[in-house]
Amino acid sequence: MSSAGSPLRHLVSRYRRGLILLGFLVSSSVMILFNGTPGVAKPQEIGLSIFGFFQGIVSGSVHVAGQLGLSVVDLADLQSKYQRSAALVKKYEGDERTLVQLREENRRLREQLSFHQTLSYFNVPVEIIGRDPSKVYSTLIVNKGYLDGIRKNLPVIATQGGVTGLVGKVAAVGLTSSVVQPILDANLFIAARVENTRHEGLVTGKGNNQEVLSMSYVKKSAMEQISRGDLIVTAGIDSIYPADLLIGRIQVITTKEYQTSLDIELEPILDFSRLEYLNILRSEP
Amino acid sequence: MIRTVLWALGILGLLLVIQTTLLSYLVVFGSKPNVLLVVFVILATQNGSFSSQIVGFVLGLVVDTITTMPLGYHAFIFSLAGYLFGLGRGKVYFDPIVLPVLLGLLATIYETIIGFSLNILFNLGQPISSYFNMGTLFQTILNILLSPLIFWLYGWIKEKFQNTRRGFGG
Repeated sequence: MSSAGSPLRHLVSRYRRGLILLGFLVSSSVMILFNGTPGVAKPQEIGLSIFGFFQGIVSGSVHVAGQLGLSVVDLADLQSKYQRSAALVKKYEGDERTLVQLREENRRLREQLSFHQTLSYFNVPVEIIGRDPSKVYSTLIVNKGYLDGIRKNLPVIATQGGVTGLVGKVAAVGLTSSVVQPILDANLFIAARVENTRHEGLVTGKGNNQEVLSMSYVKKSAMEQISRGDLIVTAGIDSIYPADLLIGRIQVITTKEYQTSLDIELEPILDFSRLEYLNILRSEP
Repeated sequence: MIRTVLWALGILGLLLVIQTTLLSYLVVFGSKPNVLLVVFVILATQNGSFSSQIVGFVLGLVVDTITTMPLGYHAFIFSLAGYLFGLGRGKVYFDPIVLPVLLGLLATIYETIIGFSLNILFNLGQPISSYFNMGTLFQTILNILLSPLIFWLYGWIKEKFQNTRRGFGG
């Protein structure tokens, strides 16, 4: 009995290190292969819930420390600003009267033109608490999750300098944090169209650390009608993104003899490196 | 061995939180240094293959939970890195500059090539440009520049907290 077992035991103990490595590599490969199968993604969500908690603490501490430092600087600046402000108030009192008149005029003009308020969406405001460990723009981790009503595949937008644009979609949801897949990711495809000419195409990221998007499958016949600077918006033909959310602006248009469609390079409407707060859209409150 | 694994996981777990939060403010030319990878590789050369592959597998799974890559992607990269870089334990002389720089360079090249190979093998859909681009080059430079500093910090911490001197006689 022992003589039969000992060669195997000897073999296992001799190659223990290699066998364990093999076990890890096979497990990893199996996990990659079965990724996306219902039920298999659960450990990822549990891990995200735990890790998001720690990220929230660190991100929150940095935020508080930053605010404290800024407050001290702000106080010193406050006095001089106050004096300048007092002088300006007198001037603005006169301007306000003009503003009230202009507002009233604007309201009347809107009514006359039957201006419709743009469709507003139910949304959850979230704060970015982490980013991808190696690539800068591949993943955004936000501070709200399942308990706040966030669900997978919900669209994410942000407002920057008065412009509202598409950020991406929710890729994974933990209990109190979620992973947002930004439009800069090469694996995210968005049905889009040129805002003024309504030509359709497919927008995707380039997957690297540059803030550049590409739009493909736009018919070659559109070449004459579209130009640099044209806005690209969501088409709204898939079930994820609402229509007419701003995505980017056309930067470069290229075409090849043998292709039937154009290759368009876009500059995203939002500066992803400066994003801090996002809004996750929901279909119901 | 269990103590080594737990210590390494504790340090790397803390670093992962820092990597995904504080280091996001240190973006240079659209890239940030991958301190987590550099520290992991340095730890692997100190701790050896056996414990490092275990640490790598667990750490990789945690990283997988916070990225959009499939579960197992980083577990594969880190466990293999733990094994390969751990083979260097006791075989190389650690000077303060050249070897840390070399490790930083090798680690970044390793991650790029293995990541790209997994992408091809499992058809993960990432374009080639997401692995081989200017951002990767900048990250390599940042990793190389940071490696000696990280190695010095590691030595300093080790000396402070793991004083192995003991008395004699008796």
